[in-house]
Amino acid sequence: MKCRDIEPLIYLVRDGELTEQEISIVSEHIQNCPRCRELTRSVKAMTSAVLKADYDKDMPVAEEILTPRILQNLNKPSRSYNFVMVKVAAACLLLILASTFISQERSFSRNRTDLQTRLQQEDPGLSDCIRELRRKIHYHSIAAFARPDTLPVNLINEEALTAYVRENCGYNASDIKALKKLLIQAGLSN
Amino acid sequence: MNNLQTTIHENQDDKLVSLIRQGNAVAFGHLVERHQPYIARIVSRFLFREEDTREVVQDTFIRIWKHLDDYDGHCRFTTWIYTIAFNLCLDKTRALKRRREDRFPADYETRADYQGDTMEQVSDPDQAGLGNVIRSLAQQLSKVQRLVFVLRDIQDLPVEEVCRITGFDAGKVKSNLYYARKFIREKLEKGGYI
Repeated sequence: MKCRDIEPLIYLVRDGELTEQEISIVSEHIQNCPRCRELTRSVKAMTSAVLKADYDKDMPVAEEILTPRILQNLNKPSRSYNFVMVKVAAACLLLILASTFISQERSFSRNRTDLQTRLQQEDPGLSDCIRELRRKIHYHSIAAFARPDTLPVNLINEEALTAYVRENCGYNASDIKALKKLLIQAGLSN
Repeated sequence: MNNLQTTIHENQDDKLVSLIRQGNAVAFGHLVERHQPYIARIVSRFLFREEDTREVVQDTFIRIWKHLDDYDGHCRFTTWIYTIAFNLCLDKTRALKRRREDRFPADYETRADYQGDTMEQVSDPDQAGLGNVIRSLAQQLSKVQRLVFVLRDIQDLPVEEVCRITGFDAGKVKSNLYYARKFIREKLEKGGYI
């Protein structure tokens, strides 16, 4: 496996959810790869630092006695509740969102189909990295870069994807531009 | 906390919940005293400002009081209250963003920046100082990344507990953890903290 495939596993190894096979692949890889060995050391140092750090030093609220204040406010109307207008507005908003979502889904599927046709044609001007990304988009295997907060429309976290392109293709302005175009074509970006 | 202590702790919660359901406000006071410090700690790791933390902690307990009948015992009581606390954290973050108040007070790019700024205020710079740096960096993560990072890495909760609290599946938790850890590691390394 390549470093870029091993890297996410190195970050997730502490969660104890890698299979024995994955652990073995990671161990074997880092024995032979100084870069990933250094990354493993750095990730371990980060994990340890995050666990040991004292987060409460400048946060006296944890030690404050808030009980009287909370008990006093128990029967007051909540800031965000009990407003009929808010409920009505929320219902209207839901209706609008539902109709927008249906229309977006239709447009998204249409864009995907169009893209699949366009992807059949090779563009010699694109780098290998962008071609690979284009294949991933084509086969919908680009979920690793999905923005979870936009599901199920599934917009792409452009920052993460751009970082990936910069790291794996070098800092190449034309690649970034081509990537942006591809994402818009695929309906994965605005 | 060992298994026996956990069981005792949960039994006490069950007894208090039962009394509160009968309208016993004193029992609710005990429940607040039991859980407020821990709730305040985890909320403060998600929100940077003390006044926001205080407000969310207070709202968490008010919501617990109002919705206690919704707790059906399908998960641990603590899981249920953490879920409420973190939902309120997310609401608060959205509200702050709308009001453009979600700026964190300091972005300590390097250890030198930090030392020049507030090192004198902390007695143990290696631990307390680092805690502030990590909290500051966590503010730069997306809401979801920050949420899973705080629960999994700072609070050290198992992935399955994080899934229960957030309602996310394991894949979503892990992919967001990956990006969060990558960002935090790179910043800590760049700043000379690790």
